[in-house]
Amino acid sequence: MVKTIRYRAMLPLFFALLCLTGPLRASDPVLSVSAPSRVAVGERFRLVYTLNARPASFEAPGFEGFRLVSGPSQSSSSSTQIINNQVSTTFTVSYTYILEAVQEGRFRLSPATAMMDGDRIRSEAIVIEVSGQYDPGEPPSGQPGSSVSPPPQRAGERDLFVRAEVSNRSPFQSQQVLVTYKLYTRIPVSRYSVERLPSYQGFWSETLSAPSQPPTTTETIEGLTYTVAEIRRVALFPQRAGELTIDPLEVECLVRLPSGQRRGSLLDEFFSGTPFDSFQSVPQNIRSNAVRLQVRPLPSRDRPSAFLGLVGQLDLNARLDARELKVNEAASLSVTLSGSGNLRMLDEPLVQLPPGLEGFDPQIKEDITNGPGGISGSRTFEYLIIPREPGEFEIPAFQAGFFDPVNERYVVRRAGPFRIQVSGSPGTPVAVSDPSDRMLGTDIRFIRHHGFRLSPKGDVFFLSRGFWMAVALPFLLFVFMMAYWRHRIRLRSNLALARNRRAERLARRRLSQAKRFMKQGIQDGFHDEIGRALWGYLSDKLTIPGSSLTKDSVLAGLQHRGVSPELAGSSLRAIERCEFARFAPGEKGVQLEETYRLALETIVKLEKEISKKPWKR
Amino acid sequence: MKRFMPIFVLLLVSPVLMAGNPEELVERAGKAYADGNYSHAVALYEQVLAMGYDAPELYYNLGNAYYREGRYAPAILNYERGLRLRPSDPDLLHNLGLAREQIQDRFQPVPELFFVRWWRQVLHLFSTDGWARLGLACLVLFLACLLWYLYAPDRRMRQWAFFLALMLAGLTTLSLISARQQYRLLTESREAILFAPRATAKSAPGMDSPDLFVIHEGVKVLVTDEVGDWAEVRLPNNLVGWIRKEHLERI
Repeated sequence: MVKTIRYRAMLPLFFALLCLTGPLRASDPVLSVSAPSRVAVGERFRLVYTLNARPASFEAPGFEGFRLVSGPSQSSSSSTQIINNQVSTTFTVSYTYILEAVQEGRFRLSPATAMMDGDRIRSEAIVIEVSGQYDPGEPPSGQPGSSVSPPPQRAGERDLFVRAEVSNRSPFQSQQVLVTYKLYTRIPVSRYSVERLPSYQGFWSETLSAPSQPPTTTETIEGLTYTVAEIRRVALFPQRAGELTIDPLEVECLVRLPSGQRRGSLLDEFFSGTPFDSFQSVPQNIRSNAVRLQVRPLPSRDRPSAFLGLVGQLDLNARLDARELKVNEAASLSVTLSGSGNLRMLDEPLVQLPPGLEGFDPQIKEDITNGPGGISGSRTFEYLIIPREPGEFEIPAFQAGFFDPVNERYVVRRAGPFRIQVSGSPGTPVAVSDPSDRMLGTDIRFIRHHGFRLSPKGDVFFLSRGFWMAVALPFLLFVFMMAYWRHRIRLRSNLALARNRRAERLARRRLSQAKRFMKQGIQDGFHDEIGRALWGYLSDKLTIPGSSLTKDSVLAGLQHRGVSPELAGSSLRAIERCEFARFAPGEKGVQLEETYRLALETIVKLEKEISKKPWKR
Repeated sequence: MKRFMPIFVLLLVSPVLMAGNPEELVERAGKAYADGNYSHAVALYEQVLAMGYDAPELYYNLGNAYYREGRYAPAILNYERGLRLRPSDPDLLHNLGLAREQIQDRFQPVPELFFVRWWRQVLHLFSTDGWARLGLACLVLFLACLLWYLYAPDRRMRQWAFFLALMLAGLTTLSLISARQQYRLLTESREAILFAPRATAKSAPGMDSPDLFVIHEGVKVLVTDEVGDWAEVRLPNNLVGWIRKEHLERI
């Protein structure tokens, strides 16, 4: 098992060798055996055969009554000495078996044999007594029987081990898990070194401490007092959910063990009793335990849009160094995210600048410390902001979301909003802006909520019964209107014709009535009848309603009917004279006669003239 | 008693019908849409359609709900159906344009002659009923002008009435022709939307015919002929091929 003898351990040995005096002779080959004389059932112990020469072959006996746990493991060591020009070589081969006692009783192990240069070398036969049940609480080296057997060349598992302690066995994804590696020892360890670091597959890892001289404490486990050294502390962040395993850590320790007796070896005899060789530094590899973690995924429910990916604790602080600016003057907005957890993987918070403010990519400052309690610190994003237009701007509030693994919920921290007053005139003329130039995206328009008029499907007005009725109605109306107009016109023309025809007759009747009044001497009646006869005749004949009957309209009417202007004039003069006669002084009898004759004459003349021409409306 | 049975049944059924009052369904669907529950909105709008009602807004909203669900073929179908009822609705056109951008196939349409394009633009100013109403109004005015022309006492007025009547007669004819065109689009639609994720166009009806080209979901085609289960379709770029009818949904 002695692999190498390190330089530091070799130095006193070398010195001792130099001091050797007296002749040395080559020793005969000796096969020695070492084993505890008494063990308990279930106890594991070491059976070592040691040969001080290189054998051609080695044959171990059968181990009746014991179970072979492991072995044989072969190890050899050699040393060469030159003393007084005499070269002597010491060579040792050891075969180690680890056996476990299975049942009680006395068991004899027959001798082992080794072949060497044709000689058969035999070891002694040994007897091992197995009694009692093995109690793991008992320190293996503190057994009463240990003094009988030579001390082992290797520290037991209970004397020296490394333990990996995990702060949380079921963390959330990305949650910080602290892994502490502690070296427990009951034997002096002169030094240690980490042989192999685990790969930490599935984790993002960060070493928090790895001291070369760790402070030690004492701890008692199962009645045994150990010296404990915290040799390494690592922060792990699981990158995925599910079962993840932390591989063991391998440490090589240089332990100081009481050196084993090598029977028959002069060299060993020489050393025994001196302070140098009562202990031997032996390098020993030990592994920590593997740890399994059950990683929980982050809940997808209620995950805020501002979630930055951090699991732990977070605070958001923002500071704007100037509130009043001139155009093209710079301001800086620093957003500090401080807390604990996977800070190095923190995204930047979304800061939206209003149009008119120009922003640049942030400068990121990190102040992250790997303390014993994990990773904590702050990450500062410093944005440079330059206003390009005057006016009042508002940088909307921004958010930083994280997952709080203790309360198992998402938390959002807010900062802002900030107002900036920008004065001055725009440095460069701002182009007339069309909102469509700055369209952020296109999306379908929203649904309509109002103005719905659901109608049965296929309900089309065109060519429906209602449509045809709507077409027919105006035509019917049109025909009706035309018929009505025609009817009215015909009616009116008929009326005029009738009046035209009876005009003379009516006038003659009125004249004869006037004649009667003349004979009776009723002058007023006479004049009334004469006037009615004349005006009535004209009204009927010329189709002029009585209300609009004037001398002018009569004149126009007569001309329209083709009556010669002379006749028209004389007719009107006759009408005037007849009307005038009513108020004229003088002899009534002659005058009345004259008036009557004039009226009759006018009507006859007009009748003759008008009836020559065809009737016209 | 037998004569009254249908009425009796109707009375029994009416509460059931009331539960699915279309206006109420539309309102619920609008709420579901606003809440982001698009599949529910789709179901409600489809229910209203299944009850035999429609409106351009209904097709528009249903198209939007399908769009939000990422089902672009039915979205395009419903926008197109909405445009049949209201040919130049700006919202329908806008959203249809966006939906068309989402589908895989984009064809460069063959440019039309300018007067065909103009005629199409004029035609799509109004729907069937819009044109029909305009035509009726023009007809009434035309007849009024005709009466005026025939019986106006003044000569100048009669001249005016004559020209007006002439113009109105023309307008009436145009409106009624347009109404007829729109009506044909509405009732004898030969356009369809492809609903299958992909369809291979054949050179003749039948699976054994050689493949011509492949089109994808959401493409609008013109059905020019039908034989059995197969339909001859013309694409916007004038490609012609035969596709199984089951892949198509008439607009």
